[in-house]
Amino acid sequence: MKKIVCLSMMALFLVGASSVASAGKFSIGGFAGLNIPIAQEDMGNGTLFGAKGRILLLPFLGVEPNFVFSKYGDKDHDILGGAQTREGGDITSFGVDAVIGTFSGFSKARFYGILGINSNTFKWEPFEDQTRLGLSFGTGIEFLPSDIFSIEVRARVHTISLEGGGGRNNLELTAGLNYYFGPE
Amino acid sequence: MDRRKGNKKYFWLLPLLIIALVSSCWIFSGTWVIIYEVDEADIDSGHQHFHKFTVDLTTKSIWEDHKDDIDDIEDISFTFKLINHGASTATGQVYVSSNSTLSDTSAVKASATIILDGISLPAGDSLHVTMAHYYDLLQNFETLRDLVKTGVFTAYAIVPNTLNVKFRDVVVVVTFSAGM
Repeated sequence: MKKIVCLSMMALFLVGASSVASAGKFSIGGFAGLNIPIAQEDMGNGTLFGAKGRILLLPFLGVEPNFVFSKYGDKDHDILGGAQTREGGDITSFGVDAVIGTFSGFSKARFYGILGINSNTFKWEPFEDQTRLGLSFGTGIEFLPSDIFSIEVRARVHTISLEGGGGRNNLELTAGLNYYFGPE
Repeated sequence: MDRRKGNKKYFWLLPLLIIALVSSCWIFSGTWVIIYEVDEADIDSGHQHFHKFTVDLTTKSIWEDHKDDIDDIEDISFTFKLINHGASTATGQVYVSSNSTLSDTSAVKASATIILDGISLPAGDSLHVTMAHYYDLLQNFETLRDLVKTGVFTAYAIVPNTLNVKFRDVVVVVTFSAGM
């Protein structure tokens, strides 16, 4: 599965890269924020950071190869009146998101949707690491105070399958900066 | 003609929709934690060399609500206190089995699965095995996981002498994932 995801990412990246000349605009950026577990009683809120590129393929469509490192917070369990702490795990993710919005022109703000696929390595002591397929979807808004920098905030649901069945779903709230290259 | 072109424009969405459908089984999934406190009266210390108790998750409403949709047992922790009133250092192990009628230590060692080993307690001392400490002692997690999936199992805490080594404040914490 990891191979399929990696090959898909490479293919999408190559398609994207070959289209840069025609699209004329691409960016690199970094982001950080909160990782909030959804319906997971065993994990606490944590943090995340990551990096991404954006290649505009069409006026309404871009692809974003990305890397995200997210950490769950520790979780306190009330046991016989006292708190016992279980350490949270962490996730290292590589993936590609499709961003769908209005990217033509250079407006001051862009609103877009996100749909992505990723390979995730879930680490949780003392268990063995699992590398599993994940999906992401969400929305974001990008503000462009100049023609080379942008500020972005986004909310993304990141859902990861688990080896034994079931999955882990997280809400990722992030803010980031992007630097744009290429002609408009 | 234009309509056909318009439809083709959205073909790239098809693989993503297929992935979304395939993955729906894990998207609608959650993780729950059961904190199972073993009542002191339910610990059977009537044997010379082991304390025994049965964990019955089916008595918990969370388990009953999700038992038909359980995907996996993700984590199991045991926390407890040992008090050594004896005159020498006590060592101990914890075994688990689906059989609740094992009557002596040799039967426990022969047919149950050891999950905790390396417990050592000096004379006159006490030990609190917490969730953090427990993982250093854990063995055979996969067998334990399979047993917990059944909902009911019995644990045998082997000690040199149950009269000298007391077993208290036993709690089993079970984390499982299930469909919503």
